[in-house]
Amino acid sequence: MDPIPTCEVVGPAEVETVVEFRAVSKWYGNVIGLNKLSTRIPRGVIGLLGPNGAGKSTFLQLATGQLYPSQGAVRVLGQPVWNNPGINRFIGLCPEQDAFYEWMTGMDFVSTCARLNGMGRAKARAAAEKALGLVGMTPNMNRAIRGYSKGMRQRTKLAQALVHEPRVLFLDEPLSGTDPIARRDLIDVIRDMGAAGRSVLVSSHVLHEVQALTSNIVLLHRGRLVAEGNVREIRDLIDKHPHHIVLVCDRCRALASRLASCEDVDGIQFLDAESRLLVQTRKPDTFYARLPALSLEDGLAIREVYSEDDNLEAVFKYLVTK
Amino acid sequence: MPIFDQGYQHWHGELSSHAWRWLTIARHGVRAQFKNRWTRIVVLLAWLPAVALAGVLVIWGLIEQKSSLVEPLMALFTGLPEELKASPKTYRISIWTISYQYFFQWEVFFSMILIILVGPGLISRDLRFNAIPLYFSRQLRRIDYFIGKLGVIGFVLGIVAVGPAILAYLLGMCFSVDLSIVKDTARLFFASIAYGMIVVISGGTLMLAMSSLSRNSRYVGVIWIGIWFISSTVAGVLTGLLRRDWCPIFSYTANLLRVSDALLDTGSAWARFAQFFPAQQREQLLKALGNTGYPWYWSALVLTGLLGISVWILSLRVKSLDRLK
Amino acid sequence: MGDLFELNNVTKTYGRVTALRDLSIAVPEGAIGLLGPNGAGKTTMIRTLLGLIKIDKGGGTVLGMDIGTRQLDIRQSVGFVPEDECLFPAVVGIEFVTYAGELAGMSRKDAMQRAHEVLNYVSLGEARYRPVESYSTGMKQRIKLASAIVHDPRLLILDEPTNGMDPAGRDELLELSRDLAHNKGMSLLFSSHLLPDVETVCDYIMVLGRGRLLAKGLIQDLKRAHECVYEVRIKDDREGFAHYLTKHGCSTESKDDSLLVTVPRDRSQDILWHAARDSGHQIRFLKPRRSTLEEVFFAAVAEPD
Repeated sequence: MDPIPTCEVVGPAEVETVVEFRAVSKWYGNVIGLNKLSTRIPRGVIGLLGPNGAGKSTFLQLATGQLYPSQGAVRVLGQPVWNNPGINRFIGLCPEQDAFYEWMTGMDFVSTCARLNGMGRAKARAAAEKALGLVGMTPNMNRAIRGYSKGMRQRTKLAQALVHEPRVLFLDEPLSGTDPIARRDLIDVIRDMGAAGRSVLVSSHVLHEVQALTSNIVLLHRGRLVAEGNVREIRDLIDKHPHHIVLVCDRCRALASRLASCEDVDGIQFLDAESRLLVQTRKPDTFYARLPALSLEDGLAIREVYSEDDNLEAVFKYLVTK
Repeated sequence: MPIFDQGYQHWHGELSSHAWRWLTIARHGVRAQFKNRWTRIVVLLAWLPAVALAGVLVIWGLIEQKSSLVEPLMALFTGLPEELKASPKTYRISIWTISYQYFFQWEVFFSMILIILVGPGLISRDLRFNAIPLYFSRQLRRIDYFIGKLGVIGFVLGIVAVGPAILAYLLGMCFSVDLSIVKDTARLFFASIAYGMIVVISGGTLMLAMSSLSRNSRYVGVIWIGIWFISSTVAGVLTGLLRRDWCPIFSYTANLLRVSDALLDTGSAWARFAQFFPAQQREQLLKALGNTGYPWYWSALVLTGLLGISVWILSLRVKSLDRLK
Repeated sequence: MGDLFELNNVTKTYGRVTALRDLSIAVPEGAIGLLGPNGAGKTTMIRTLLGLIKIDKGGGTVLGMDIGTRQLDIRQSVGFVPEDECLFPAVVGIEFVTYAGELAGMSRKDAMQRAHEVLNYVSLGEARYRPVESYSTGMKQRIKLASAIVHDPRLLILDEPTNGMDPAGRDELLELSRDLAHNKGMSLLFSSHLLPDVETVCDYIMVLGRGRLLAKGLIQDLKRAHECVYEVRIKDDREGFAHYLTKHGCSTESKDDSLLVTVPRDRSQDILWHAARDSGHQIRFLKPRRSTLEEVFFAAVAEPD
């Protein structure tokens, strides 16, 4: 697959905040979609997460100018998005729904999308070919979309989102229906795009995919912003749930008695007699800093260290339980 | 143990053979249809022709017995020829046949309306909500599915047409007091059952085929109304333009009625009455009422052809899960 | 414990496309994961197991019943949760599951009693009295699962069950699948593209590709241990840490946000703790390296024909 070109600055001056929501609320009749949400999305790959009904689709629709906020303002690349067709040159959207003109070939479809963005016919075809090559659809691009599998349709959707080389990409469940091979390829494509300077906002329900893409997330719940930033930092800040760290050591009971005298340890549990210890602590930094010295003490060699809840799934569960 | 496991329990019951699956589908469909208020109202209304039929047969039975109950009504019948009043029994077959003929005409009308109320959603909703995999991943073949769905239409038309016709026959029989009536009119009894089945199979399969064509039951209803009215209109226009005997064959309902007339043998019934009318009108009357303009098997052929097309459409549209996705 | 199902040299073609090519496999009872790229023949294999299609060549048995002759009987003991959204129209939840039970051959009373039991198990409480069209995605999946287990099948086939579900719904469904397979003695065939889900629920996997069987076995056995290689994650910058290790004879390799360290045989694992102490870093993750299921999958699929 072809490498992704570093994007040049075209149009609005380079801004650090790519998408900005200022106290945005949106309701549909009586039902509220977003409730006074304020956030600034930086460059790079960001994950947009939240349970069903959290307001993710509303968020994406507001950010791409498909909806007008009931309150507040939405700005992308420093400009308002509503009623601003010019900004669409710099925005790419890969929606969740599957709606194609089934009789067209993949190549036709993507080049038509390119032309709708203002490119001339020849330029559009070249751009479409490049985009389809990027997502790995070159062998199939001249077949009708009617015959595509789900994974191929997903890739074509992604191709039409990046055919005009936008500065900002909004991807709604981009990997749904793809098999592990396609998933790995597309994850690489998205990560490379983030590394090349574009902003990619990925909304997904599949937490381990988001974890493979990025460590920066925006978490919504019931229309409000719950957390944003780096996953590990967020985890460290969740005081209510102490970290659960598992240690594997041959002489785990001796290790346990040493740990019991440490102040930052809140609890110790012996797990299924396989020389595993589950330690709870609210001060992970102090605890981890202690481990090397402890391990090198006579006979207390720690063979394994891991934490089941130091990841995105844990953060999600702790912050979003109903 | 005092505390009982609340989780999943295994089940060790009996599962019936798949031969009865169609009954389950039919029952479920009928239950769903009768939740609709309009269906219930139209079913009630559709019993009126049967009531009328029963009334006519009962009155004729009383006339035969020259019962005193009918005396006041005889004033209405002064226009009837004398031979009729003298020996009603000889004309019994004709009167019964002609009553059944009019009953069938009304029956076809109500059947078409009931089919339009009950039929469109049968397969089109299953297609829209993608229930087909749920059906065919169980112990069910396509034929069971179709017979089950047909059974819904069959049940509704059965309680509206066949059941009341049988009841009317029994009532009429009771009021004649004379058992020879069974010998004379047995043909009508079996004809009404057979005709009910013909309408169910022909109309039902056609409706199922239309229902499988679209995911939106409203379009299916429109198609059905189209078949009914447009075909009748075409037949009428052709009759007007060409004045040929076979023109009515273009109308779906006319075909059904032609078959009913053949079953009942209305031709000979009207022939007996024709003698009461002056000669010139006889021919026209026979053609119009006896409907003997063209042989009945042409209509039967048309209906069979439609049946074949319907079955073909159904097998195309409702594929079981053996297909490459 | 007999085989769950067995296929011998099964071949099935649709026109010019060969969906299954001489497929032979015998699978034990338990929770089985079915993996494979798109177009590998997974859907065709599932349909073969359900007795829905006629295969061109070969034969097999499912739960001891021959797939050529006893197709209808097989479906009595098998439950199927299809991938797409599907429901019976215009019914409330409890009628949906009751109807599903009746279609499997249960009498109405049995079906209704069992439907309530099964709806309790999948935690659909009061919602069972509401029309199915009003359900959320997670609830629709659970009611599909309920309707598939209402007749107590011995084998439950799930086709992409967690597609499109939010994390809470996914966890519930995986929890239910795991419980059915491990605690309640039902065999499961779990077909999914999401490898972590397969790993949560299944113990045994089979990988199909281009109509053939590429790999099979217990997940534990397939994930090989790499001797003397450790996966380490450091807080903050790992360059200094890696540098220290290479100076002391280890080789390091970056992988995502961890480090793969190969320790020479004559050194012990303590070198890692020495490195941490001396360079002032915190080790936040340390485990002997084992292949991930993803790597097993890619290795299986990459093999030449």
